[in-house]
Amino acid sequence: MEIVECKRCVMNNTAQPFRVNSEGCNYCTPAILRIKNVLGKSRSDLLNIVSSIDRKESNPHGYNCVVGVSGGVDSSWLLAKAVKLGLKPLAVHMDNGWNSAQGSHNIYKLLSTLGVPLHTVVLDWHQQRRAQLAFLNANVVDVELLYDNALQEVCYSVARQYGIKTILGGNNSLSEGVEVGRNWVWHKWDGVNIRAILKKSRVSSANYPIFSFYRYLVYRYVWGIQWINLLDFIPEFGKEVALAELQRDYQYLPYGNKHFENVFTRFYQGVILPEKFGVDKRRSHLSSQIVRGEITRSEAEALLRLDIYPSRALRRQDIESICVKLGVTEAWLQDYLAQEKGSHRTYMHDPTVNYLIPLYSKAKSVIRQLTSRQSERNN
Amino acid sequence: MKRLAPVVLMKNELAFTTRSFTIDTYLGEPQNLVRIFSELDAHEIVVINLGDLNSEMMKILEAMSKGSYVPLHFAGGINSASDAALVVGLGFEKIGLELRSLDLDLPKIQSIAERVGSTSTSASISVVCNNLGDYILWDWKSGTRSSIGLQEAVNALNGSGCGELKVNSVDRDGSGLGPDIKLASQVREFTDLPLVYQGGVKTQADVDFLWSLGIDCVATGTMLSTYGPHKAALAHYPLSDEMELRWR
Repeated sequence: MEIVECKRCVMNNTAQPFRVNSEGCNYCTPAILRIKNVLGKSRSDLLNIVSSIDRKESNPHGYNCVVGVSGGVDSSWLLAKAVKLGLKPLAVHMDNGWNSAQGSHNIYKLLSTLGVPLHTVVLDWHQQRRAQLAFLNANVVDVELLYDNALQEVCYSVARQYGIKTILGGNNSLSEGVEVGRNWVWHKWDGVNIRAILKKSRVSSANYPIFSFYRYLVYRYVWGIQWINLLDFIPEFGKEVALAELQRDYQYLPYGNKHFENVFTRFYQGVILPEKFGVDKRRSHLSSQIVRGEITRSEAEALLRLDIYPSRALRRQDIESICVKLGVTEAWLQDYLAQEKGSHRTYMHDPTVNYLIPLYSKAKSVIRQLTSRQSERNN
Repeated sequence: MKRLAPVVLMKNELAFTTRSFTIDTYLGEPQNLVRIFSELDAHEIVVINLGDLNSEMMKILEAMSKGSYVPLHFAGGINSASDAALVVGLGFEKIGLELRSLDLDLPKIQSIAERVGSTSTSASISVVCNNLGDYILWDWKSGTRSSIGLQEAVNALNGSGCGELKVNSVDRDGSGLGPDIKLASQVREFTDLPLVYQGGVKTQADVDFLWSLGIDCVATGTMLSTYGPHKAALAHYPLSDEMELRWR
């Protein structure tokens, strides 16, 4: 396959669908609009949304929002910001058995300095290990679907448990404005797909937190829990700024790469994705930074030429510990990396999140374009 | 050097904290916990297994010792000198042996101390307070008090060849009510062996106080594996300045 690169960002046609024109591609062009939208937000927009959170305080502990913390920069900075805005957050952490020492230490330092309490949901390791092997056996691209999906369920269920009505998410347009390739991930709300993949390897999905569109509807409209991506209301947020602030105030230790606080994610992005699927997720992260104006395209290209893993020794160490923990041999892992790619599509998947919702948002944007043209003409 | 040791307690290959010697909070997967404490440069990690020392367990212990750069202490299910030698052979520095009855356990401790050496043999006693306020030993396997008094047990262990004595306060275990100071100072009077204390430690101030009483090592599960009022699982350890610099 011939490599086609975007002129503005570092996305290329390993991401599908990929369309380029003389200015940019279908990944960075919408990102620019999204970032412009966030940068246009004023202080009063933020205060409005914060005051709407405040009124919903109704639980015995006095918390008014849930903040999911992974130990990464975005969620850590969000938590610190929430406290500074006068909110009373309850931090929620999902432990999937792959926490790194730096990650744990960062979370502890941050929480104890801010005085924020924590609720950890620790997944049942035996089941967790089998579920992870089921995903590897299926040879599908989005192995992390299992955790990204479970994390949402965990946030909602903890909010429900403590009677909290707001969840603050760390997702944001400023540092992750350029989306990852559509073919690099699967829809994170597709619980049907997770169940089907687990069922194929005869792994029980009972007692495992699995989120879906229907769970969302129940949490949102029956229990009235809202999810707010608060960082999208804070124009001054940026990866470099946030990292510097965390290092200064909370002795935060950096990991060297996005999502590297988790050993398995590190391995997934550093070995499985590039070697088995030919995907380099840094392209999307760096493109976001280019669009944001934090680095130039040539700087990003230089960074891409470096190894994904900070050091060979760390890579070796991770492979060893992953084999031992999953109970597989290194030969098995090599065999897995060499095997044919599988597709999520061959397993049952949820038509609502995969077809209806994209159709709906497409229709919405078309209608918006038409109406804006109409109003321009009227003017 | 005074030490602070996190305790990783396992049951069915999963890690837990305990409260008065009953399972309390689920912490996740023990190998990862040991690796995290090792990377945080803990002085020593105490690994306890509630259950038999079978081949599955040996595999886990092997992986733990491979993944750890700090001294490891293992206790649980060691019945003979050959078991102890196997575990030491995997790279564990110390073997913990519980004293529950004088005539059964004492010869075992002696034979293991002869086989793997005194410095690798750590005897442990679990102590409860009876209605009269006297300290007596607790048999965790049957869940009953035994008739052995604290002084009697410590005296017996003084001559048994073990190189370290670990005292567990059953009443304070996992309670976060602070250490049993009376117990710690009494045991300190009865013996010259290096002492490890476990039970009820909540803050660094508790640890400092126990150190000042002459306790050599403070072991704690709850304080270093959980955080905050909801007892959320989160491994942490006071980072030395040197470590902090190395990571920065």
